Amino acid sequence: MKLRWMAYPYVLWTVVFTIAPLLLVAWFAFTTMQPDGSTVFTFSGFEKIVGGDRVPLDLLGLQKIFGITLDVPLYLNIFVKSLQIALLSTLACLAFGYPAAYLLARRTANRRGGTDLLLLLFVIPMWMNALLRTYAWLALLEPNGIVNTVLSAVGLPRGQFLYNDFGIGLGMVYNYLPFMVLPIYSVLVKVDRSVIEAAEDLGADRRHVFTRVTLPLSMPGVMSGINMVFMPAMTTFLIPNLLGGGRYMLIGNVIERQYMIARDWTTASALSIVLLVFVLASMKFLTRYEKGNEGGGVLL
Amino acid sequence: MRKGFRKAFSGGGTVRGLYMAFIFLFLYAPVVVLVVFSFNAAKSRSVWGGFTLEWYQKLFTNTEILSSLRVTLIVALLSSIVATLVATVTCIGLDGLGKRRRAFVMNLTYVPIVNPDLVTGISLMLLFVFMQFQLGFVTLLLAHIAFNIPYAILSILPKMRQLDRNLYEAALDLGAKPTQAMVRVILPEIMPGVVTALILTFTLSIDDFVISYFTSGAGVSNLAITIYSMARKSVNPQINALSALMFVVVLALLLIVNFRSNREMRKPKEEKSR
Amino acid sequence: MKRMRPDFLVRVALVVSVLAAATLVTTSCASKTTTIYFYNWGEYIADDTIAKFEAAHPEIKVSMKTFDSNEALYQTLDSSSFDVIVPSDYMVARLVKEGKLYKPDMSAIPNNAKYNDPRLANLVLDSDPAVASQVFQYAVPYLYGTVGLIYNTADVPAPKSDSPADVWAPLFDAKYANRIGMYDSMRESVGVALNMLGYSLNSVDDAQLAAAKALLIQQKDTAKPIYGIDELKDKYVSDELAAGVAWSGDYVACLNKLTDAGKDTNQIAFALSKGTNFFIDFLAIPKNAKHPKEAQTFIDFLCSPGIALADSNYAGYSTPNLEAQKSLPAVLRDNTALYPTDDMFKTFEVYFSSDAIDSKYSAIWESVMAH
Repeated sequence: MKLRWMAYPYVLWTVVFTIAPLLLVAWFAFTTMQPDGSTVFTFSGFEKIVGGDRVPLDLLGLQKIFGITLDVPLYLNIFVKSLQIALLSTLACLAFGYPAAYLLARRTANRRGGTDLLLLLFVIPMWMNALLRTYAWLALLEPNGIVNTVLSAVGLPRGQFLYNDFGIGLGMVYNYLPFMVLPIYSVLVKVDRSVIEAAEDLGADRRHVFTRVTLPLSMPGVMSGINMVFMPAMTTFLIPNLLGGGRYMLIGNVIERQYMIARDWTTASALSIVLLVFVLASMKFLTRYEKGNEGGGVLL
Repeated sequence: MRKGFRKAFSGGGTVRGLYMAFIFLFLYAPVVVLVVFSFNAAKSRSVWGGFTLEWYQKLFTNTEILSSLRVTLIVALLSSIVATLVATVTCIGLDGLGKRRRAFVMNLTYVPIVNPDLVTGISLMLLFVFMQFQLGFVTLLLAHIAFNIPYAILSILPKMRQLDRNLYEAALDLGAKPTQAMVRVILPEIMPGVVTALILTFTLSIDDFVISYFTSGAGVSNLAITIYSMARKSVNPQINALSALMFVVVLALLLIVNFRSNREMRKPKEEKSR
Repeated sequence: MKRMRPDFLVRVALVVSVLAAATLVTTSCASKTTTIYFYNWGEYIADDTIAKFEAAHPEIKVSMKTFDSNEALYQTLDSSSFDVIVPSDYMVARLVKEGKLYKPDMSAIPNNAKYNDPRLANLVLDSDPAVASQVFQYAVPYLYGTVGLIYNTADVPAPKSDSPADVWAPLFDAKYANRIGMYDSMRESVGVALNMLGYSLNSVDDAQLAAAKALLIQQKDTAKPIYGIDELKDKYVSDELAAGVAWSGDYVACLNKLTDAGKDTNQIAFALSKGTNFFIDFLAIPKNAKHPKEAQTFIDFLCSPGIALADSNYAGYSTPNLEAQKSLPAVLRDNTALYPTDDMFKTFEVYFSSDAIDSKYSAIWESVMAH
């Protein structure tokens, strides 16, 4: 077919709407507007990231538990904090999501066809707008919310569930859990049953079948799940904005505020570049690992 | 065979049941709370004050919500159609490209998909500001088309790969004009991919908040942006009413689609070839 | 993926094209009237005011979008085109200075001269007298208010005096951790700290600003405030928050919410400190407005007594409309925190705007928020 010209308009489109915008972020990161309207080259955006106020590093209770005070630049601290909560949420998603994916896959395997109602039920909340789903947690968790009302009704002390790591982490797990479950599920349902039977025939018990066969086979799903949870968790500004009481800032919030409120586009763009490079690098790392595991070749 | 698999997955039934119950409680508790409090007479999201339908009435007369609903639907419709059209044309063209060029185009296609929404949103905003476009409906639409095209391409491309290239040549040999061959032969073959692309891009557009937030400017808001600004104001049970309605719509659509596909699957598998 | 029957696809295509055509038709129909874009604060106009205006002027439609800080308004002005905006005093001065406002024909807005309180025009609204004198030529007062301490009378004792240290003390008290409300707005928050320390609300002295910043960071660490704007009100009413900084209108809104919920309105009180901020929110037309004539019609409509009264009642801020003031309930009209006496006017400070203030305050506030 001599129709290759039909692909060219799209190439032009991506240059304008994908490549140019990304180059513009870089351009804004290295330039600043002078009062007279001219633009000059600058490193000030990156200097602000590593300079400015210094605060004690807030990493896994480093300061609170171990009493180690390590002063780092303000923005670096936020970056570390974002990384920490994103990783913890990803782990939580994995811990809660893997068994769920496993059980759902098991149900599907036992069915004769058609979609499993339970699977459908699992997917339905995901189709609701993420904003609404996150907003709903306010009613449950706020200081005078439903959970606290129930707690005090049964004589338990009220808790502070919002505006802190717990609230934000919960919001992330709730929003991103399906992103972890579905990839794992789709790998697990495709696991060749004869492989498991073979393992059993060779005398493996249930635990061994799982650790030696099922788990390794599901690793690509796990990796892509981690990828799909970690990425949005690392860059979100919506969840902290809704559940953070205005005082919980992640790197996404800082970027959003720098663009939309403070209008320091140089710093905002510099931060975006750093975030983008970091996210793409970690994704590269994850997908490399994923490929390394595909060696088994049992997967479809 | 089946038995072996079942055995491999078996374990304490109650623990499993409790676990799934916990997961579903977690998933549905917020949804249930949202829906229940949409009927709450008190203007509170967590204290019950009697039953009312007031918020639903207010919702249907709320011009801000209705106009943003209209913006959402128009943008979703237009962006999904344009993105699918562009993607269809591109996929047909891609088929004729050499391996290396094709890989290059596909890499370009993956860039917006792997980019975090935040970066896509701000980069498009910078583009529009740089080109001195006033942020508004047009920029919102362009942004939605931009993030939709890659997904449309990825939905259609697999169908294109399954296509027998000889079909097109055969049609030409049999006297069809190129356009005829295209519409009569290629299009029907890749149609399932096209429909998937339309549905996927439509839902992606409806669901998007982050990219819209940065590219819509102040004159125009879609539903997501309106909900966001409502959620950051006083407690407003109209949000609950809106959520309940959206939930019911989604539920109905999914059940219908699911019912349809289940029924089709039960039919004897006789592929009608044409 | 299953194979789809062509007839089904044809139907899908038909439905889609009909829908597309329908939306195009409806949008082109809508363009026969003029739509003006109104950029307003959240919850700052009575629910039915726009509908009333559209009924009185069927040829004009009003599309409203909301912002929650003057800075947010300023930043969107260049990239979006609005016809009517509601900047506060210092922002009007800045916009006048930068030539970003359209100079309206005041004869097309007769209700302004007829009803609005002439006392307001005597306030000095900018450090530069040349700019200050022009503000009232470019903008029309919409509502005015003060910044004070809102507090729950059951939890927080009334301030001993009107000295800033007494009034603002609860906001920095770890006793109320997690129960303090602060505005996510640089002028109010930095302003409270400056006022507390006894400095001018328009200070550009680096040492004074550093002290204010340190105070705000310490507050974030110990009192753990909630930062927000409109979402704070419900939290005072539900008793989630014990005290906070508030605009007078938010205090009135809380009173209304208490009344609606059948609670005692004495639950919440409001106190002004000496030297606190007084502000006027103006109606103005940006230079890049597409329909300035229609915008004037809309502004004049907002200045008519009945509408001004309804908007003031809804928003909770004080109306400059003297005719409307006569119809106010006595509890509001006689409250000097809302309608201050001439003596009180003398202690108030109006925010000024300058590049130095903007960049320094913004840097401080973003840094505090990122801590």
